[in-house]
Amino acid sequence: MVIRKNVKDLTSAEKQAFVQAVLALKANGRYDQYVLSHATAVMSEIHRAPAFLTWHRQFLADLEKELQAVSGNPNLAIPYWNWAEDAARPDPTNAPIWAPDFMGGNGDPADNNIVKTGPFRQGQWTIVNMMGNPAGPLQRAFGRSSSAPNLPTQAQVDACVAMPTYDTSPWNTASDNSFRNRLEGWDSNRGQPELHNRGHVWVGGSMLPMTSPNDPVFFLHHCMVDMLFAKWQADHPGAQYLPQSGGPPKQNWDDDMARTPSGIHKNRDTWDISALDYNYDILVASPPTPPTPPPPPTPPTPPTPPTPPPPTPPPTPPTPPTPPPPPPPRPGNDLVPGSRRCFIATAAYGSALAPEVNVLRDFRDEVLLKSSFKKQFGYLVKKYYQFSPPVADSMRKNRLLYLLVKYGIVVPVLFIAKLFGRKN
Amino acid sequence: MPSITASFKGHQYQIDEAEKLLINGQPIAVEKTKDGKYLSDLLPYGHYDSLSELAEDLIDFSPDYQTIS
Repeated sequence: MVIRKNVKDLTSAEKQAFVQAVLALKANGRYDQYVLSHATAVMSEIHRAPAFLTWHRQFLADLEKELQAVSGNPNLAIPYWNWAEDAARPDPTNAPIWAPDFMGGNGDPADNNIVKTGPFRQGQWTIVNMMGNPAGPLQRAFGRSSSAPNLPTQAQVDACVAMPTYDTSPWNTASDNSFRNRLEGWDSNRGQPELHNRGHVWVGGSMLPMTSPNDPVFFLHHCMVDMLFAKWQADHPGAQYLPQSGGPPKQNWDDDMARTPSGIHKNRDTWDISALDYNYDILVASPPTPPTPPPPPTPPTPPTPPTPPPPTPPPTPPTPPTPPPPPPPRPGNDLVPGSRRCFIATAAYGSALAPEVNVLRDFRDEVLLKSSFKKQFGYLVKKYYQFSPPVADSMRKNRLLYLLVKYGIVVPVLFIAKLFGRKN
Repeated sequence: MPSITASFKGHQYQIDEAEKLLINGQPIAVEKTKDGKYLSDLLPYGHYDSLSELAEDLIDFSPDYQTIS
C-alpha cells in the first residue's frame, strides 16, 4: 500500500524519483497511451457524469502501477497538488509544484506560452495530438483565462466535501446538490469553472483540451481531486455511489466503466481505495481522539502564603526505556475480530461501504456475536480473520474464485442475514 | 446575423449566425448553455463567453491545430 503525499511534503529524492519515472514512461511510449486513452474516451462516459470520479481514480491507479514498474520502486506514489493551499499564497505561480526540479514553471507568454523550464521544457518533452503524433512543446498559461484568474479556495473545497450525496439525477452538469458535479466544477453560481475544471483552466495551455494528460501536472491535479473524493468517503461513511441503477450506461454502480489503460473495470471496483493499494497522507494520520470533557469547575482558592522551595531529591537511577506504544490501527487493515472489516464480502461487492457488506457486518455483530452460541461464533469469526484476507486478495485476481465464493458462500449467507434482519 | 471570418495564427475560423463555428472549413460541435455561454467537447473544462474566444483557444492550445514546433 503506497501513501500519496502533498507535493509540498515531498523530499528532493521523492520529487526526482517521480520525475524520472514519468520520463521513463514517456521514453518507452506508455505515457502517450494515457494521453490517448483520455483523449479518445467518449466525453459523456468519463466527464460530466457520475463515473467522472471513479474512472479517473482507476486511470491514476493504472499510471501509478506503471510508474512503479518502470522505476522498479513499489513505493512510488503520485503526489497531489493541493491547489487550495496554493490559492492562499501571495503568488501561486511560485508554489513548490512549479519548481525547476519538479513540474517546471509557467509558459513563456511572449513565445506561445511554451514551457521553457523544468524537466518537461521545450526540447525535453513533446506532446501528442489525438492521433498520437508529435505536436510540439508543452504549453501553460497560468491564470490567463478571464474565467479562472485564480485557483479554487479552501472554503470552496470545504463546502464541496460537506455535501452528503454523491450524485443526483439528471447525472450530468445540471445535477444539483451533487458532490460529484460540485467537485467536477460545473455547479457554479457565478458561471465560471470551479474546483477540478478551474484547475485545468487556470493552468491553461495543454491542460485545456482532451489531450490534457500531455501535461504531467494533470495527474497531480487529478490526485488532488481523488484525495478530496477519498476524504469525502471518509467523512460520509454511509454514503453510497449513485446511481446504483437506472442511470445512463456505464454510470451505474455495477456497470463497466469506459476502458482505462489497464482494461475494463466497474465503478464499484474503485470505491474502496485500499483495494487499489494506495491511501492518502491525510487519511492515515493519527486517528482522531475523542473530545475530552472540560474539567469540572474548581472553587476559587484563597491566596496562600509563599512556601519555601522543597529540598531537591537525590538523583534517581535511570529507568529502563519503555517499549513504544503499539502503532494505531491502520484504517481498513485491521485483522482483529470485532473490527468493522469484512474482507471476503468487500471483495465480493467491491467496496467496504456496499449495502450488502453492511447487512453482513450487522448480521455478524448483532446476530451471531450476540446469540447464545456467541462463544462458538466468536471462534469462527476469529478463524475467518485469519484466512479471509488472502482469500479476498485471490478473489480480486481470479474471476472463477470470485464467482464461486460470491455465489457459493456470500450470497447464501447474505440471504440468511436478510431473513434474520426481517425477523428482527 | 452576418458571418464573421478571421485568421488566427495561420488558421481560418468562421462564425455563422453567432452559433456555428468552423475552423479551416471544418464544423466544430458547440453547445450553447442557458446563460448564453459556449461549451465544446474539444475544450471540455470551461465555458466561453464568445465563439471567437473559443476558436482562438482551440487554435492556440489544441495539438490538432499545431501552431508551434
